[in-house]
Amino acid sequence: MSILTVITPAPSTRLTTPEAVVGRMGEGDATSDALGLVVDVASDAIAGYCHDRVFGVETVMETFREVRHRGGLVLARRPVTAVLLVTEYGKTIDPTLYEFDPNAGLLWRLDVMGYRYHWFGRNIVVTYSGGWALPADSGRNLPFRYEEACILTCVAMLTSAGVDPTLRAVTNEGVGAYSFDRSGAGAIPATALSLLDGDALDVQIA
Amino acid sequence: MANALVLQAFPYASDGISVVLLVAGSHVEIRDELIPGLTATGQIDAGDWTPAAPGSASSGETRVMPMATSSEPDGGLLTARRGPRRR
Repeated sequence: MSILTVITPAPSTRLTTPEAVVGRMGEGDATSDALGLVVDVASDAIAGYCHDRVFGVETVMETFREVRHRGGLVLARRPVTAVLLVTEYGKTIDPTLYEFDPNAGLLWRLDVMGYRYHWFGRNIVVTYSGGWALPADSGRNLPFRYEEACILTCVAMLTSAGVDPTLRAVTNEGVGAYSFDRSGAGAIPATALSLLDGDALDVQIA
Repeated sequence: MANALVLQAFPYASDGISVVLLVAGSHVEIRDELIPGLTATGQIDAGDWTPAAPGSASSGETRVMPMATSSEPDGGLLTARRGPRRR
């Protein structure tokens, strides 16, 4: 396990925009505070489902203690965009003596010949930037499945507002009967969960 | 993207795939969302780059849930769903 210190937090946590939700529903007011709150809640629910993952770009300082014989350090924020500083016992390591895999978030130590070898040290500190540009940011690169899951969750929250989630059928003798499909209801609907399943199972192995 | 002066060398993956080592003293294009962090840690000098304007969707502005009223028992969710009432 590592200790994470956020240097520059993500400016936003929204995985979609109110405009995208209104566009999907075909109606609504994108400037509404209530809709903005729904987007915030849906984004938070999805982040929670994905093990409290932070999707937006952050610059963080991650400290690994008692590191012995690891192939690569597993960084908490992914994808990694830039590794800014790596120190062992407080001594800065030359940037040519490590390399990283952006999407996997793995940081490898290199020897002077360029071969990978193990990290070893009581205190290794890695400062880096990781995460995606979110839909409201310029140069957005968040994978579309996350935004789609957020839109589906927003739509489910809006359409099920004020509706009894346990209501399955209503029968009025001699008048008629109505049944309700609640498969799309809930905090995160099943269709959105299917888009997130890969992340829910994603367990980092140190 | 903004042009920035690299103050300290560091490996950078602009496209999230290929990693290049940015050398101190070089001028490079850096993605906007990375500039605050890289500037805070002293890696780059972004000159007169300014962050997103307050109130924009990416500014992190806190949104406040409106209080429920008798005409909007759900706290405005229906208005958000259907849009403002038309008279």
